[in-house]
This record gives sequence, structure tokens and C-alpha cells, in this order.
Amino acid sequence: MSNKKEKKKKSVLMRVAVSFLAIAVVLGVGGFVALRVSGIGSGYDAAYEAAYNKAKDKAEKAVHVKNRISISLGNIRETANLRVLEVTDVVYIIENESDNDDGITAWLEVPGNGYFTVDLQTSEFLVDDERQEVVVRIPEPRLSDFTIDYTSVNRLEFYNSGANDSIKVGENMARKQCQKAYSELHSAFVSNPEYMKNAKKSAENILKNLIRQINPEVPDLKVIVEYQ
Amino acid sequence: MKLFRILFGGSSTAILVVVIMATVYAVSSISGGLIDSVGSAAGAINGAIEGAKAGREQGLSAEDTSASIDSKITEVGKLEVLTAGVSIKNMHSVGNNDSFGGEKYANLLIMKGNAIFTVDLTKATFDEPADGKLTITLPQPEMDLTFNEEETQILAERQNSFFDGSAEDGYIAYLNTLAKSQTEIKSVLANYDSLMEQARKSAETQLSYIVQQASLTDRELVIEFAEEGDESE
Repeated sequence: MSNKKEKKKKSVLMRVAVSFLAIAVVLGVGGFVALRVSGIGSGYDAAYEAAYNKAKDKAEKAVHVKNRISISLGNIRETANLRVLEVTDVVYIIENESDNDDGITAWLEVPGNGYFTVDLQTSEFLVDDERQEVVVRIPEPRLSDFTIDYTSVNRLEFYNSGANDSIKVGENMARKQCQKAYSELHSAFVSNPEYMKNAKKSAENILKNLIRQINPEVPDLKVIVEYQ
Repeated sequence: MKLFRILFGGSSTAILVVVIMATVYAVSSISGGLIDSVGSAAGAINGAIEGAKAGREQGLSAEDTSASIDSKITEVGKLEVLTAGVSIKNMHSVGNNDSFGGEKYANLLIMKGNAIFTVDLTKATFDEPADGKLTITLPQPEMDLTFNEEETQILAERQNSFFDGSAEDGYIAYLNTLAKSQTEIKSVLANYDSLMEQARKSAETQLSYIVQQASLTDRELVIEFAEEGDESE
């Protein structure tokens, strides 16, 4: 009799356990499906937004970049430099881990642009009414304005294999690369004979057009551009 | 009922099951927090799994492929009429350090360059001379800003502690500072009325001189400036 009772008790407990498990499975699966269908509960968005804003504020504060700039102007002068050719180019400044003591790899793409100009203040204009001719003697074009386009500088790679280093190390690395890029771009612009050739050709075209526009009453005007 | 009996045995078991179900339901529906918590966790897990899968596919798709012309030359016809030397003092800092107070890094950066005002002669209009008068309408002067990187220097520099912040943060901060400075300074100078007025006057003087020198005919010259936004391309 006691054995039968014991057996029945075990059977009941087993059924309770199975039932409990079945309910848990049903609740779990059902809940999961319901959450997915319903947009996963109102707590999701609120929790996400709160965590996002808190993390964003903290991160922003940790690296907040502040610049207080004051500008001084000096040496203001009137000029008459005619821009005849714009040149643009890009240099790649490659700094590998082995190139510095900080174990930093930094590849930078730096675009720059410059203008070849002709100084019209030092140019001579010789007008011949009889021949209906204007001769312009100009100096050779020169690269007078040149700058890096900082808004288009592109970081291609940055990897720090060593310790995390410091902000100072990174700032100095960027400055060193910008200075190197400036120097390389400037040399490339000045030393390229094609640029000078095109600048001269362009100067002739622009001056001829300009002088013809100044003299619309003389349709057969002859304009000659010479270099001093 | 039979199935119920088979599954749950006696009535006491059935009552126990009902009590458990009711408790679970009551707890979840009264608080709502459990669902929300589960929802947050489920959202984060699902998002991470599906996002990673989508990101991997997108990352390997090579959609991010572009081609551009880096080097080019363009014929221009702008007359530089005014140049001003620009000296910039920038008090630059990165980060706030709550533990030690103050910035993580600060420097005093000096930069030099030029503000160059030009008028675009290719956009100028030359009217047909009438009554011995030639009228030239010029577009408004434009301003370009150049920096001489070789003259950039750090006058003073302070780093809180060597491992405060990262080299990459400093690298990005410096490059972004230059980009923002170039844009901001250009905007300030381009809207500096007295410089712009000097540029207009100089344009009149320089162009008058050129016209006078290169003209075969003596006539009166009138130089006007087009209204802003009224310049032909």
C-alpha cells in the first residue's frame, strides 16, 4: 500500500515538473514572438535613448575640441595679379610604425591647390593705332597662391601598435604630416614644366580675350603677348 | 478532461499549475517592467545579430568604391585686387578631465596666411560703347584664404598626463581643427565689410588702369558691380 502511494506521489511530481517546463516553454516562445511582433515593448526605446544620450554626452565631453581664434590683419595691399591657371593635386603622406618612436601607422591624403598668376602692374602695354595692334609684355607666370585644402584632407589609416600614447603625440603627428604635404605639393607645382607651359598658354588666351573686350570697336584688333 | 487528467493527474496538481500561471501573468502584467526588460535585452540581442549579419554583407559588397581625378589644371581669369596678410592665434584644447580638472591637452597655435580678394573677369560684362562711354559690370569680389603651413608653429603646449586621451584622438582633433578654422576664418573675413569695400575700390582702380593702357580709343569708363546673386555663370 505504502509502495503504491510512493509511486503515485512520484508520478504526480513528475507531471508537475513536465507541466511547469511546458508552461515555461510556452511562455518563453510566446513572449518572444509577442515582443518581436509588438515592437519589443516600450522599455526598449526608453532604455536605448537614455543609454545613448548618457554615453554620447560623456564621450563628447571627454574629447571636446575647443578653438578660440583671433585674427590679425596686416600688410594690406592693392594688387593686379591675373590668375591664369589653377592647379590641384593630391599627395599621400605615409608614416609607418617603423618611422616613429610611438609605433604609429598614419596614412594621410592631402589635396592642395595653387594659382599661377601674371603681375599686370609690372606689365607693359604698347598700343599701335595705325596697325590696330596691342602688344603686351608680361612677366612669366609664377605660383603665387598655394594652400592645402584642409576641408578635404582624408585620413586613410591610423593604427597605434604601442601604448595608447597621448593627445599630444597624435596632434604632433598630424602637424608633421601636414607640413610635409605642404612642402611636397609646393615642390610638385613649382617643378612641373607642364604647369608653366599651360600657364603661359592660358595667360595669352585670357589677355587676348580681355583686350579684345576692352576694344569692341576694333573687330580686327591684333593682340600680341610677349614675355619680358 | 481526460487529457487534462492524463497530463496533470489529480485536482491538486491542476490547482498548482493554475496558481503558477496566474502568478506569472500577474507579475508580468502588474509591473510591465519584466516585459520591458526582456524587450530591451531581446532588442539588443536581435539588433546585434541581425546588424552584424547585414553589416558584414554590406561591408564585403564593395559598394564603397569610388574614382576621382586628383590632379587637374583649369584656365581661370580672375584678377587679384587686394591681398591682406592674416595672422591667426588659436587657443586650442581637447577634452575635459573631471579627475584632474581642466583640459586633457591644450596648445597655443600660430598660423599665417593671406586673404586674397579677386574679381572674376570671365564673368564681367562689357557693354557696347555708347556716347563715348564704355561700361563694365564686374561680379562682386570673392575671397580665398591661404595658409602657409611652413609658418605654423606651437608657441606653448600642455598635456595633463602622458596617457590621458589617445594619440588617435589628438590626430583627428588637429585635422578637424584645421578644417574648421579654414572655413570659419574665411567666412569671417569674407563678411568683413571694410575689406570687401577696399577690394571693390581696388578692382575699379586696377581695371581702369588696364583699360586705359590697352585701349585704342579714348573714352569715359564706367565700372559697376553686379548685385549679389545677379551674376551670370
